[in-house]
Amino acid sequence: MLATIAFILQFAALIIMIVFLFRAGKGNKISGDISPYLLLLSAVLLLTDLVVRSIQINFIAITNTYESLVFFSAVIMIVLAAGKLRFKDRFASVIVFGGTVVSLALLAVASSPIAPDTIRPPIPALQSWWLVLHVTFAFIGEAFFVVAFVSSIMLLATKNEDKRAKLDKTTYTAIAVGYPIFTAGALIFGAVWAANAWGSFWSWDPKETWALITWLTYTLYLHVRLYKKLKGPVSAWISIVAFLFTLFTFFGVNFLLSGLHSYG
Amino acid sequence: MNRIIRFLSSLKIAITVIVLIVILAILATLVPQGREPSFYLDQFGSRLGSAIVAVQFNNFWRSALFIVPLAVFFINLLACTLRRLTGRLRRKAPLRIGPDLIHLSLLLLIIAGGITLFTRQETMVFLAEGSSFGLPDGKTIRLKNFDFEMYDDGRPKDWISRVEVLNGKSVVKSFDIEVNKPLRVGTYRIFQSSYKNDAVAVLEREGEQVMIRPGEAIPFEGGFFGFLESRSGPEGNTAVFIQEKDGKRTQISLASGEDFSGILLSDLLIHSESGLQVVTQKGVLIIYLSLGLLCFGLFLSFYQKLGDIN
Repeated sequence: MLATIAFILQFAALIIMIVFLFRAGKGNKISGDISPYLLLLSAVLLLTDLVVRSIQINFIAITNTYESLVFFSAVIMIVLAAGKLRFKDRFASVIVFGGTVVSLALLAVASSPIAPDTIRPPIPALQSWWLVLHVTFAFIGEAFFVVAFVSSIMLLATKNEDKRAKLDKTTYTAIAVGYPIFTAGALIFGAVWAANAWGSFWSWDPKETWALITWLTYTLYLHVRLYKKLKGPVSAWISIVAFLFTLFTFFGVNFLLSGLHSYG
Repeated sequence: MNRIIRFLSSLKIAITVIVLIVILAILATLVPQGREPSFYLDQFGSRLGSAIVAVQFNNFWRSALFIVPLAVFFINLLACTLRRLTGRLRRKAPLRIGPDLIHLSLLLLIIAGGITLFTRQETMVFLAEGSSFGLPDGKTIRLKNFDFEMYDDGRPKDWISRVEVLNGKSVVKSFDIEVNKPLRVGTYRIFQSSYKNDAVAVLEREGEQVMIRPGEAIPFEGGFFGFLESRSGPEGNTAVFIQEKDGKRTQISLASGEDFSGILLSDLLIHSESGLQVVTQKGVLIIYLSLGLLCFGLFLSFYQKLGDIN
């Protein structure tokens, strides 16, 4: 129920954003837009949903695909709302618009049969605080990757060099902030959890391998940019591919490849 | 010397080797790992299957296909770290050591990973309550009690192996081993890994008693009545049987005291054994050290990046 209301709020915010994007002239400051507050409210509702579920299962509710999607969407909302409140220009509005579309898609998946919302307490392997750190940090990092993904698409869609430079900077900043958080969550805390649960830091399980592939691709992005001529379209393509790998690590591995992470 | 380091630390090498590892890793997740050679011949055809086995793509993470690019990555990273650090010190440039610490921690991590790979020893031990096993260092682990807790829907809630560590005849430690809560004894870590049930179905037919285990069967009306497996649920234990009659097979689930066509399951004896994984490996401390260093390097990079944004 709470997730459904959050979905409606995000959708309403999206409509408001469209209206304001059409009304605002190029480069004009946009005022009176309440969409960031709607996004924040939707994040509060999603997090409340998780708190309620946590009380019911007596553990932090981040142990299945539905809960992960709800948390991911909530974090994306917070990042986008904060960005929009801080950078009140047309660029920010378009990026927030794109990010909200991604979040709505995630919530749509959360409401589908592939992510059942049944409230079930976790099996023994998932009863670890390292798992909580692993999942939350990974998704916080990935929320910044959503921003980078949208700004990279925008960069490729424009031919204007000034706009490209600005979008390139946005993409880089989002990845530079998300990368350390993602690394800590997906790789470091995940490895410590695995060592405590199974006695091995790394098992080359398909999900672990795809997390590493994603991390290496973002690492590639950060290094490719050291070449001036590769900044812009080339690095934007790498950012897009890296985000698609992020999605594949989350969804594709669960459904196409089997392994230790088949539960979430 | 400087020229060699400059060449080895080349960004072009770094980018090339990262792309190569990404491509190979993607392919490795598409090819099932660690199966018998015949599996690849069946699955991929004789030409591709033979090629996979020949280049050890069926064991990719231990093959030269992975080790060689990883070694190049290591040398490149080492040269890059040396170049960055020495250059910074020479120029007395302001410290921005986040990325350097990240590089350094990755080097340590690769070294530690190699050490654990070559020194790791693991054994799986199944223990019934009251039984014990000895560690190579002379200590003994005795299982006092094994609890398997379940949720109402039948999913596992917890496996708890209550053990004692004995040195000779004296108990030096009591510990409850659970998933995510291993026992540490010297250089050994003992994990709650699995469990198994050894079941015996006591059947009565026409006053005659017979005991069978999973996989065994008794003759029945021209066919057979076989014990498939035991199942544990919130309502208690049940035995699953297969009845074959006139070429047709039927699955039957019985609890103690229930009967089927004159065959009574008078008792179902289930004897649980805890599956403990015993692991010893060197390099764990270096792994934790490098992960800590990586965290610190990431934090510094993050902090400096936030400063740049602000």
